Amino acid sequence: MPARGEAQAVRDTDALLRTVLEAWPDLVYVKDNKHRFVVANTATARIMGANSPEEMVGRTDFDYYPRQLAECFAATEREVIASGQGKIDVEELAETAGGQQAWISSTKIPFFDANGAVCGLVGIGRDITDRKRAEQALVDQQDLLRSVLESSPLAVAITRPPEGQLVFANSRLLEIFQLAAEDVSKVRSADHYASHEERNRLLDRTRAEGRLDDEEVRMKRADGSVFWARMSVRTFTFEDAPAFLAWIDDISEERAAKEALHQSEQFFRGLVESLKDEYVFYAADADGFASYVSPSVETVLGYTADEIVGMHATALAPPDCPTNARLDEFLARTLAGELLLSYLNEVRTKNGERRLMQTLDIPIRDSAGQVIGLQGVAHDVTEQEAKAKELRQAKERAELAAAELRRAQAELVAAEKRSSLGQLTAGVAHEIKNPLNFINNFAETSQELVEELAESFQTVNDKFDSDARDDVTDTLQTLTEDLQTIARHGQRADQIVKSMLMHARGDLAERVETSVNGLVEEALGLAYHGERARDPTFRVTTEQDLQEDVGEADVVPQEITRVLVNLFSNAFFAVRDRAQGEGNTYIPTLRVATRDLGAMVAIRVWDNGRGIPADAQAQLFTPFFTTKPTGQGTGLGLSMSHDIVVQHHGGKMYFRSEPNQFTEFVVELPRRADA
Amino acid sequence: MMATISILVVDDEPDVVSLFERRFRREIRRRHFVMHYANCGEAALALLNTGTDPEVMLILSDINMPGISGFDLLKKAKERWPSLPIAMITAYGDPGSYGRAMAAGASDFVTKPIDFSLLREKIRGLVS
Repeated sequence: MPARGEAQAVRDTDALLRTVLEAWPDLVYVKDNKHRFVVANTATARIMGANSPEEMVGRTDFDYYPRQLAECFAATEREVIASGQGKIDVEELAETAGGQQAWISSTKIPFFDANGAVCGLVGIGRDITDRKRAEQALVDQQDLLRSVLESSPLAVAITRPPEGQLVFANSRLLEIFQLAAEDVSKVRSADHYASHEERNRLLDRTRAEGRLDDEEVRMKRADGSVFWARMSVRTFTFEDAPAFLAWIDDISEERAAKEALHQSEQFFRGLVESLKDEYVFYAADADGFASYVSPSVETVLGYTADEIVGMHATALAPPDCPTNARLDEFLARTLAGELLLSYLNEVRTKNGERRLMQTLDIPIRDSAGQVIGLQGVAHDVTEQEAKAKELRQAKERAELAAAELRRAQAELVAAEKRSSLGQLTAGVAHEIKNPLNFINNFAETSQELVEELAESFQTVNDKFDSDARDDVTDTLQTLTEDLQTIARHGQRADQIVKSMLMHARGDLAERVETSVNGLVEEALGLAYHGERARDPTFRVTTEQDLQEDVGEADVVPQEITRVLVNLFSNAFFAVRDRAQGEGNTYIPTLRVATRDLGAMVAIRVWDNGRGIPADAQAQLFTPFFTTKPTGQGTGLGLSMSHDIVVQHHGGKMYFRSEPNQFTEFVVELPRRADA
Repeated sequence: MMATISILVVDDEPDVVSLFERRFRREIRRRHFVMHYANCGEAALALLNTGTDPEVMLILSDINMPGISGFDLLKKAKERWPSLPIAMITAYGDPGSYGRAMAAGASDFVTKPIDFSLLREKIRGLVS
C-alpha cells in the first residue's frame, strides 16, 4: 500500500508544516495568482484582523485592508507574478484591524507550477514597527541636533586628525572662516591656523589631555587674513574613527578691546611705576583696604607691594603721631567724595623707621557715580622736611651768629672806645707826670730847705725871745709836716698814674709756654708775703687744689702773675675785712684750684671773705670802680686783670659771690696762643 | 777837687730850670756842675753851635717838646758830636720809647718824676 502509505506521509508532512507555521512569529502566507489566500498562519490573521487563518482562505487583502492600501499591496504582487521576480524585505506600512499602523518588512516570492508558470506567491512579513519607530526617533534627534548646531552662535566643527579634514561644520563656522558650503569636504583645519607651531602645540595638548578649553589662538580665514579665536576641543569617536569636536568663537573685537585696555593699563601702570622712588601710588577699596600699591613702596617702606595689598590704610601709622589720629576721618571724607584731600602723616617702615608722607587722596567712582574706593599718591617728604628743618636750624644758627657778630661788634666798639680811652688815659697820665715831677721834687727840696733853715736858725736862735723862737720852731715843724703830706700824696698820685699807664698800655709782650701751677704758686707766695709785710698779724688758711697734670699754657707770665697777685690780694682783703666783723670761730680761708679743660686751663680763686655786694657786681670790672675805702684801692686791679685775661690772652674771667659767704673768681686761659 | 761837669738840660717847661737849680744847688755852688738850659731842640742846637763855657759834656733832654722832638735832637746832635753823651728824660717810660731812644744812640733813659739822687750818680757815670 504504497499509495496509502504515500498519502499518509503527505498528511503527516502537511500537519507538521501547519504546526511550524502556527508557531512562527512572522507573518507567513501563500496566495494564488488571483491574490487569494491559500494558506495563512495565525500571526497573519492577527495583523489582518481575521478571526482565524481558516477564515482567510479564499479571501484577499481587500477583505481586510482599506482599499487604497490593499490596492498598493496588490500592485506589488502583480509585479511579482508578472515578472516572476521576488521582492525581498520591502517595507510596507500596514494598517491593523484596530486602525493601528504597523510597519511590515515584507518578502514576496513567486512559485511555479510543473509548467514553469507562476501560479501564486509565498509571502513572509515581519512586524518592524518598533525598529521603524526607533529609527524615526534617531532621525528626529539628529534633526534637533543639527538645528541646534546650526543656530549656535559658536562655530562648531568636527574634524579628523591628523590633517583636520573637516567632517562637519555649522553655518557659523563657514561664516567665521568665510568658507563656501560646497567646499566643506575639501577643508583641512591645518590650513587655518596662523602658526603651524601653535597648531602642533595645541594638537599635542589635545591628544595628551583629551581636550582644550578656551584656548586663544590666531586663525586664518579662507582669504588668508588672520583673526583671534577662542577654541575648545573634545576628542571623541565619530563614525568609528577618532575625531575632534571643536567650538570656535571669533574674539577679534574682544581681543582688540582687551588689547586697548591692556595698553591703557600698561600706560598708566608704567606712568605710576616710573614715578620717582619717593612717590607711592596706591588704591584702596571702600573699606580702606589697599588693593594696589606701586612697587616704589619697597624703596620707601621696605614692604613689597604684595605685602601691602590687603593692609588697611591705617595699619602702618604709628598711633602716637598726632596727624595719624585723623586718618580715619580723612579716609571717611575721601570715601564721602571729597576731592584732593591732602595731608601730612607719619608711617612706619618695615624696620620700624618713621617716614613723613605728604598724601593726596582722590575717591574712585564706578560708572554709576558711586564711590567704590580711593586712590592717591604719597610722597616721602622725610628728607625734604629734615632738610627744611636743617635749613630752619641753619637760619637760626645764622641769626644767632649774626647776633653774636653784632655783640662782638659792640664789644669791638667798646674795646675801641676803651682803647682810645686808654690812649687818652696814657696821655693824661704822662701830662700829669710832668707837674707831679715838680710837686714831688719841690716838696723834697723844700723839706731840705726847711731843714737847712732850721739848722741856720739854730745858730741865731739865742737872738730871739722864747715866744718868737717857739713860733719859728713850730712853724718850721708844721712846714716840714705839710711838705711830707704833699710828698706822700704826690707819691700816691704817682702810683695811680703808674697803674693807669700799665692799664692803658696793653703791652704786646710775647706769650711763652708756662707751667700753670708754677705761676699760681709763685703768685700766691708773692701776694702772701706782700700781705704779711704790710700786716704781720695777718693769718689765712690757704688750700691748694692744683691738678697735677694741668700742664702748660701760652701766657705772658708777668701779666698773669699780676692778675693772680691781684686776685689773691683782693681775697686777703676780703677775709680780713670779714674777720674784723666776726669772732674767733671764723677761719679765713683761701682756696686756689687749677683744672685742665682741654683746650683751656681754669684757675679758680675762692675765699670765704665778705663777698661782693650785689649792687657792686655789675661794675666790678669797670676802671676806677672800687669797694675798698678811699686810698686803699685804685679801682684798676680787676679791670686791668680782666683786660689781661680777656683781651691780651683771649680767655674768660668771671666770678660768683654771696655777701658774707664767699667769692670765687675763675680765670680760663687758652692753652695755645693761636687758638 | 772834683772836675766840673757842664750839663745842658733841654725841656720846654720853664720850671725845669728852677728844679735843677734847687736840686743841684750844692753841686752848682761848688762848681761840680755847670748848668745850661734850652727850652726847645732848636735852641739847644744853636747853643751847642755857638759854644758854651765850659763846653757841654752831657745833654739831658725831654722827648715831648714843641718843634723838633727830643728824638730829633738826639739824632742831630749824635751826627755832629758822636761822643757827646745824651740822656733822655721823659714821662713816657714805656718800652717803645726806651727802645727807640737807645737805638738812636741815647746813653741813658730817665723817667719822670725824676729821682735826682739816682740822676746825680748817673751823670757822674756818664761823664767819667
